[in-house]
Amino acid sequence: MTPQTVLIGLDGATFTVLDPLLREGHMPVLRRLIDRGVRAILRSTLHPLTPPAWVSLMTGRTPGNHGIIDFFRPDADDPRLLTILTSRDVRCETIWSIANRAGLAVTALNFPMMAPPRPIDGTVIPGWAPVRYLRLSSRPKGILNHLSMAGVDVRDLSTDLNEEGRALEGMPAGEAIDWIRKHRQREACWQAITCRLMADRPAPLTAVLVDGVDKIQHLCYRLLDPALRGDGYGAQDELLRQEAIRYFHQLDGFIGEIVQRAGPEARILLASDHGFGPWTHVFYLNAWLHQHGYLAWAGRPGDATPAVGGDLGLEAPRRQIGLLDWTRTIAYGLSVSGNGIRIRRSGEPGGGGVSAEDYHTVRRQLAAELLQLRDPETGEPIVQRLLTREEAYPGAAMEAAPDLTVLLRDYGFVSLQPSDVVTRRRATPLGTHHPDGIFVGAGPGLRSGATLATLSIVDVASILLYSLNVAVPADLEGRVPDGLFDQDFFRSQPLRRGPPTVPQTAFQTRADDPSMSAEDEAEITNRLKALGYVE
Amino acid sequence: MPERVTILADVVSILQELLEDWEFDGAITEASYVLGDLGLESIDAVALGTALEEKYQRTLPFAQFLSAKVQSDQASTELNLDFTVGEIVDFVVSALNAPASARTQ
Repeated sequence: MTPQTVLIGLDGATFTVLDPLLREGHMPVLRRLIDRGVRAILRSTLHPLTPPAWVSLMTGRTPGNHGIIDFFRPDADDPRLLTILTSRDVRCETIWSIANRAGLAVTALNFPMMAPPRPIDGTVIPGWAPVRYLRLSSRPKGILNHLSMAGVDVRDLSTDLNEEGRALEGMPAGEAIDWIRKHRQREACWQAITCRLMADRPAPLTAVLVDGVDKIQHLCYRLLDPALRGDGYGAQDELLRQEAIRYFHQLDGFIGEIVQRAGPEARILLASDHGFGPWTHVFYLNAWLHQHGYLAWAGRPGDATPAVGGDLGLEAPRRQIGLLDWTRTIAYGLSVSGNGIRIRRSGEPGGGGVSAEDYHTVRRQLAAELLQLRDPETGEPIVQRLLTREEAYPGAAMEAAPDLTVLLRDYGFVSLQPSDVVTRRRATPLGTHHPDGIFVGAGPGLRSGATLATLSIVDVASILLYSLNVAVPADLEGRVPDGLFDQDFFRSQPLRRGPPTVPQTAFQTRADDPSMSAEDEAEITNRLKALGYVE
Repeated sequence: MPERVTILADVVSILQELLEDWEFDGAITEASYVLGDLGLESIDAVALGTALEEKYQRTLPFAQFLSAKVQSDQASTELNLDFTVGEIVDFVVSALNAPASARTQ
C-alpha cells in the first residue's frame, strides 16, 4: 500500500515572510514540519505568474510546452481580442492524470486551469472558477451536494473580482481588514472541504491550493517583510498587520489538521507557485510604447484597463480594442498579468502591423530601446531582462506567446494605463510576485532538518510521482533532487522512468468521462420537461 | 446538428445549474437578460460560454459574439455588456453551423 502523499499549495508563499512568522511562533505546525523535513527555495517560471506556474507544477513542463502563459491568449481569428484560458488550453498531461493511469485516485482542490473538468478518478473542485460554475465543473458530479449535506456552504468560496483587482492596487485599512477576514472565511471553507474529503473519499494523492496567501501579500507585503518595517507601523497599519498575522496563524491550523488527518505515514509537501517581494515602482508600458512611436491611442485614452487578473469577465476579450488606433499600432502591451509585448503583423484585423521581413528588426530595435530605459530619478535600469518568445517560451505553444516578455527591476506587473510619465515610485510599496517561492517536505523517507539548493517548479511533479512510487514519464522536465530523500529510502525505492506522457486534446469525449452518466443526461431532460422546453 | 429548441434547452439547463445554489426563483425565458435578470456576474457569463463549448465539444467564438454585440447594440458598452438567453441561443446556432476553428480536437 502506497503511503498517502499530500500536497499543500501556498499561492505566493515566500520564506521572506514565513521565516519571521515562524520565529515569532505564529506558525508552530509549519515550524515542526520544516524541523523534521526538508526546505528549499522553489524557483518559479521565468515570469512568475499564477496560471503558468501552477500548471508547470501540475505537469512538470515549462509554459512553452504546456501552453498556459497568462490568464489570456490572443484570439486565433482576431488577435486584438483576448480569449480566457481554460483547462482545454493545457497541452500536457497533469500529475492527476498520470497518477490515475497508475491506478491511483487523486483529490485536487482549488488548482487553476482545472475547469472545464477533465475525466478523472477522484475528486476535483477547480480553482479560479466562478463559484456558480463549481457545480458544473466539479467531479464527481454531485460532490457539492455531498459537501453541502456535510454542512459546507460553497457560497463561502465566492470572491469579488473587482475587490481582487482593487486589493492589488491597495485599499484603505478598514476595508483591507474586512477583505482579509473574507479570505479567512474562504480558507475555513477549503479546510472543511479538504478534511471532509480526506475522511469520506481518501485518495493516495490529496492536493489543496490555498490562494489567500497571495492575496494578503499583495496588499500587506510591506507589513510582513521585516526589511520594510522602517521606523515601525502606525496604529492602522498595526491593526492590519495583526489581521494578516491571524490569517497565517489560521493557515497553520489548516496545515495542522491536514497533517493530523493524513497520519504519521503520510508525506506532506508544501509548494508555492512563486514567491513575493516589494513592488516599488509603476511602469507604464503602453505609455512608453506610445512615446516611442510603437503605439497610437484611439482619441483620448480612458483608464479602463484593469489590474492584474482582476478582470476575467465579459469585458476581458475586448479590453483594449477601443483604446488603441490599430492602424498605427505596431506593438502593445498584451495584458497586465503577462508582462508581454505583442508585435502586430501586417494582414491582421484592424490593419497596420509589420511585415514578416521587418519583424525581427522591429523586435530587436524595440528590445534595445527598452533595455536602455533608465529611471529618471535614480538612473537605474527599469527593465532587468527582456525575453524573446524563443527564450521565454520554447516549445510547441510558443506561437501563442508574446513576442517579448518584460521582467521589471522589482518583478512588478506592467501598467497598460495611459500616462505622461513612464515610471513613478509608489508612495508605499505593494507586494508583487517574485521567482523565489518555497518548498517544504516532511515524512517517511524524506531527509530531516535539511536545506537544499534551489529547486525548480517543474521538479515538483517528479517528486510527487516518485513519492507515490509511480514511474516518472520520460518527457517531464524536472527531476527528483539529490538529497531530498534519504539514501536508504532511495535505495529501497529506486526512481523509475516511464514512457512519455499522453498527449492532451482540447476536448475529451463524454465517453472518456466516467462522471457523465446517462442518468445525468436524463436528469437534464427531465428538468427541461418541467420547464416546458421539451415535450 | 442540434435544433434550436434543443440548444435553448441546453442553455437553460446550464443556467439552472449556474443558479442552483443562489436564491433565484424566477423563470428563465428567451427574453431574460443573463446578468440583468438572472443575476449572474460577468465572469459567470464567461463560464456559460465555456460550458456550452463543453456541451458541443467545440470552440465557440464567444469573443467575437461579445465584440459584435457591443458594435450592434447602442445600449451596450464594454462596461455595460449583457445579452439575452435568446441571443446566446442564436449565437450558438450560428456557430454550430459554421466550420470548426483550429484546435477543436
